[in-house]
Amino acid sequence: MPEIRVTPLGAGQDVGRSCILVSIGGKNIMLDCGMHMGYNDDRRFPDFSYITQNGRLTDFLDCVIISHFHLDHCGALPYMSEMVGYDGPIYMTHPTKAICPILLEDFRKITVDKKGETNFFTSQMIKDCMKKVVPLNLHQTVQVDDELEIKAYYAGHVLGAAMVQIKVGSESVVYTGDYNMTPDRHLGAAWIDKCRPDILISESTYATTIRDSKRCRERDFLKKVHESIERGGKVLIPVFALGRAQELCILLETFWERMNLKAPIYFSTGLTEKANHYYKLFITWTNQKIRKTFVQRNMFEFKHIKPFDRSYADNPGPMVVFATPGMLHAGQSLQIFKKWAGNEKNMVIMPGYCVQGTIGHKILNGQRKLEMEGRSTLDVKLQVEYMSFSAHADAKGIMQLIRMAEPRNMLLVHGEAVKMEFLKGKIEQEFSINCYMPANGETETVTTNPSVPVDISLNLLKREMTLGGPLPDLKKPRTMHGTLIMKENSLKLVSSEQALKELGLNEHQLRFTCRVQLQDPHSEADTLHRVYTHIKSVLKGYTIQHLPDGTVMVDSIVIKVSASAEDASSKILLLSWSYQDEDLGSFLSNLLKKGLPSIC
Amino acid sequence: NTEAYRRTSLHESFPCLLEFISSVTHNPTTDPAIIAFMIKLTGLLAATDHSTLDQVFNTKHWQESSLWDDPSVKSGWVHGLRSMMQHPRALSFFVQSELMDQLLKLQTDPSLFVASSANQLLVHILLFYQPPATNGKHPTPEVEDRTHNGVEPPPFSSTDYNAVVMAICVYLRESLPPKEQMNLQDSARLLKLVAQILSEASPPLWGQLFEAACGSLEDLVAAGYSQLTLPLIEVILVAHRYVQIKVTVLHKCYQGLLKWTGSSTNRSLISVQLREGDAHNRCTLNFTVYILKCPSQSVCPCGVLIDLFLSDLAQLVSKRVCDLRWEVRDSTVEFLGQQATQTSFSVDPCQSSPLLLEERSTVPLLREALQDQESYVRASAVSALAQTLQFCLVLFSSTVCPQADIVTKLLEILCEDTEGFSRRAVVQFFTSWFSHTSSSSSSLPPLLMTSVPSVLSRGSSDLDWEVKVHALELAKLLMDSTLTGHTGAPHPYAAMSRPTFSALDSSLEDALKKLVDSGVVSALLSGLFDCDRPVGLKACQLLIRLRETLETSAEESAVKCGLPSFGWGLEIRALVENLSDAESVNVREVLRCLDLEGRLDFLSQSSDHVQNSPLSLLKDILTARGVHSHPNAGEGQEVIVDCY
Repeated sequence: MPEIRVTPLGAGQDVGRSCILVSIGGKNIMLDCGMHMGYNDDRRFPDFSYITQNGRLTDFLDCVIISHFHLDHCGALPYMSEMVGYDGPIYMTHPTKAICPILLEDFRKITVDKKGETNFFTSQMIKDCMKKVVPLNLHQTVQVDDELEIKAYYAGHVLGAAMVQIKVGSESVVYTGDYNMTPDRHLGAAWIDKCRPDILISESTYATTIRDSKRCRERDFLKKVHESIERGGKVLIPVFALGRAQELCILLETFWERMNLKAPIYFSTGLTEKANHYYKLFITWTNQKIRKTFVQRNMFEFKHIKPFDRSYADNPGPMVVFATPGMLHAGQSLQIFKKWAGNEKNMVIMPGYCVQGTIGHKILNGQRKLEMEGRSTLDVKLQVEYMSFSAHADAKGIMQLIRMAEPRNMLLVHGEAVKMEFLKGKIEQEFSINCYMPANGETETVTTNPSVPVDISLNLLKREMTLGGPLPDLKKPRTMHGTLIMKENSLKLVSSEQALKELGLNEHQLRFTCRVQLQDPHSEADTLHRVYTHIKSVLKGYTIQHLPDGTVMVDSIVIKVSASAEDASSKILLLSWSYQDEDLGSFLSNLLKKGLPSIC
Repeated sequence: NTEAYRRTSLHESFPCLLEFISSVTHNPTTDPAIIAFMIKLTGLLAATDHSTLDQVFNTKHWQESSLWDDPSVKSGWVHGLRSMMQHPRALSFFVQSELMDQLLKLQTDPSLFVASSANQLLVHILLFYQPPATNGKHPTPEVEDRTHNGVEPPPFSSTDYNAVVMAICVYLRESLPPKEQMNLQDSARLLKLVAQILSEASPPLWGQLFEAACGSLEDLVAAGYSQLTLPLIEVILVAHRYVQIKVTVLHKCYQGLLKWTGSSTNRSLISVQLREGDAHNRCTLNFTVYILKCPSQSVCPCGVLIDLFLSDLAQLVSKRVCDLRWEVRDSTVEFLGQQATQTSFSVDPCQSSPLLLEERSTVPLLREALQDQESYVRASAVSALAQTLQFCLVLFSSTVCPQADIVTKLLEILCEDTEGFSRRAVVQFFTSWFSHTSSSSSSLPPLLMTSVPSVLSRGSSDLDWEVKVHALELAKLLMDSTLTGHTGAPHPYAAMSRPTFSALDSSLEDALKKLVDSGVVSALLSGLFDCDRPVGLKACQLLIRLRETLETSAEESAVKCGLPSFGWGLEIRALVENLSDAESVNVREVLRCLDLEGRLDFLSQSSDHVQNSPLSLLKDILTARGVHSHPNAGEGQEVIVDCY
């Protein structure tokens, strides 16, 4: 039976370093190649040795597909392609291809001066890696080779995020990457065909949660910023160059417009321009509302948000500043934080994940006295807020996607084991399909039942009918004889005569013969007669003939008797049958070997 | 009280730490992450406490409890050792405890993280303890930084060092050739290590290591493993760049490689290389170009093919450079730059020039590429133009001077380009122009002199900190050439010949004035207060050097430098008294007032200093306990799960 194998090298019962191997129809595909931001040892990257122990990555993999630009989905890519060594194709959507190197560069710049880092990133490596990328369009089927095809679907989540369908023959797998089933302020909801894949591999970050709408979280965010500004405080929002930053900018920009606020908003990074450029360029990937308003006014051309100069941090009065990097561990965001930390009117909002050990992580955990370099301490008096804006599907959304795609099996990744377990139960109950949740390095094998359509000739069907059987019926399978012709990707079942004719071949007869020695002192004619009666008594419903020329015939099988040359008391039986009657022929020869019943 | 800590032993001041170390060491069920942490901690404390070292770094102990199989333990061991090996005295412990064998084993560890940090440690040990260079090569940047930090390497036993070098030589001789096909990855990794060491080592060490690796290199070439082509070529190119010795070996390697890449000089190969841009091809391409321009028939048996090949190549390049895909355009532009560099390495330029694309066809293509819509291509075009400067220099032995329109375009890129790559490349272009010109002629071209101040001021106020670091690199060249009183800039890493100006105080005063006028001083002062640590560090080192040079003069200086009313101007006003309203400041005075050494100390710590310090980790552990016992622990949990 054909089977599909799925092995997570990362994101198996875990969040971070997504990397899933799929073997389908003899093809090996790697889905995502992410890193884990929290580690700087072997746990940072997926365990490629799972593949490399048996040779080179390029020899093993047919392609790599990246779902979106977040580093936990693409961060290990330059490492894999340039250090471990992979020269095959890498697929991602156009926006992902454009934005992915910016994030990788951002990450490189942050780590380059860390002593605890084993630095696997150089600009050149990132560039060389991106040169191996083949861009994908939505809903366009891309032929990776003669047999393997892939197709991308809109996933929401972030700009350019895609779900991808992988197909070999009639077998298929859909991988969701990260997705969002509700539209948000700048992106639409995920959507997929009713494509009935053999396996749907879905993220399950919020497997147990029914999230309050993102709108509520946004309102909460605006309220906090507004309150802080009203009381004359300064608000610091540490961000990475791209993604969350643009989303929050749109949010603040429209809020400022609506409320007619005057406090300045600054953006500290030089990368905004490029980021906004991409959001403009890929306007078709954003949601409908943005596309519509684009005609009147480009949402990414901000009126209230101005570039930041470091001297502004000392200006009196309220302000909002977006500064990089996002975890408050170096650079401008940390410098501003140090300046503002002592004033309880100020606020810092952390809109994302912070690695253990960073200032961001420390203040989120409630540390109010921070040891800085040079043995100085920093008193943290400002207000610290954490806001999650990540756009993942919640439990409801995941069920909705299953209804949409109607998979035969379900496989969960990118979530915590306990939460997955809960969702697995729900899925199996509601949809009566198997749901798997392999851990990293564990392989899940799903047997597929590919249905192969075959054309059948009318003549053959008619002949079957004349033989008395009913017409073929799905519920009552029955055996039919014919010849299967495979020609130019089509399968056809015809009668053997027709097959011979079509293929221009001659028919050959194939017969088996067999000698059986019997202890029998009677005359040859007697023996033959006794053979005839014996067979007749054993085989009911067969045509058995005793012919005058001294032979017995059972269907096409011919039996003759001759006396043995050496021993007069024994006889030799000669059997001969065509290969179509092989079963019956073997049966008779075995029967006769046991001897004839004695005369009663 | 830190001084007090230093004087008393750790045993007296923190008995619990030693207890912790010993209990972790003897408990085989401890989590590998904690063991790794403990080993790192022991390495950090090695200077003050030696009592636990034997046990903690004894790998037999970890192997017995099979904890050694865990990569995080091995990684902790390497990092701990690395901290310890910052101290000169650690070498004898390292040698006597026979840690070398284990470190060598880890060079090809299945975990790339472990192997990579083990490689780095090995290079560190070789270079850190390497005796000062006597001829030819100059001290490494690391050594230079060390002297500037005020930490002179105290003496250590040369017997120990020789033992280390010997062990490495033996190891290389034995391990470079793969024992079986499966070990090719290991050989590739070791070749990269050899390339790295050879590119950084000084002559005596260089010779020893090259000698050790030589035989194996020949064997590897002869064996013809295609997977090793790239690292082998890297080693050969590095080796060739520095010496002409051992020509016979290099020749053998070339011939072997030639045979092996087969028709490496045919056009289909080149067209493939220009289509794909990966590192492997780039390297083979380098090599192809190298072979092409090599005048000796003994190395280059393919002379007849060359004419045909070159006309094809020229056509191909002009097509590829306007391909629709940026990947192809970029690889082509990179190729143009590389072939220019390769030519300038040639022994006899006249002989090799007809073999390559000529400058007159290369430069217009590159000028066109400066307008490319993809920043990667623009950056590569700028770098390639810098490489052609070298080309001109060698070919015409005259003042190198790019066309004025190109310079204008480059300055425009520096001001307006939205991408760090291209701006970075522009600053590097001027750095390389400046260094080539100043080392080859007595006067700098006016075009260069007028551009440098704008490059400095633009570069040092860039949004990208790497652009700023490159701008400071240019400032350094300018400073060196102005202060040493002649334009011949010293080798960037030359042991600093401190200029003596005592007899020529007026010329020192002039030099300082020049530095102020060209914007060097304000670039350095602005960099000093930069929020990105590498910028601050570089600026601080240069300011210390400037101050030391100025202090050689007994006369007071009157040179002033403008003080802006924002940014670094504010920072200086806050630090230096009586400056509140001043619009300018005396350079020599301000350098005295700023506590540059103190700043250097603080800036030398990397940005993960806080993150990785044991104190910080302990605090995190304590807070984490508080958070988890808190009723609202769910909140904190979401922070960890919700990556994006």
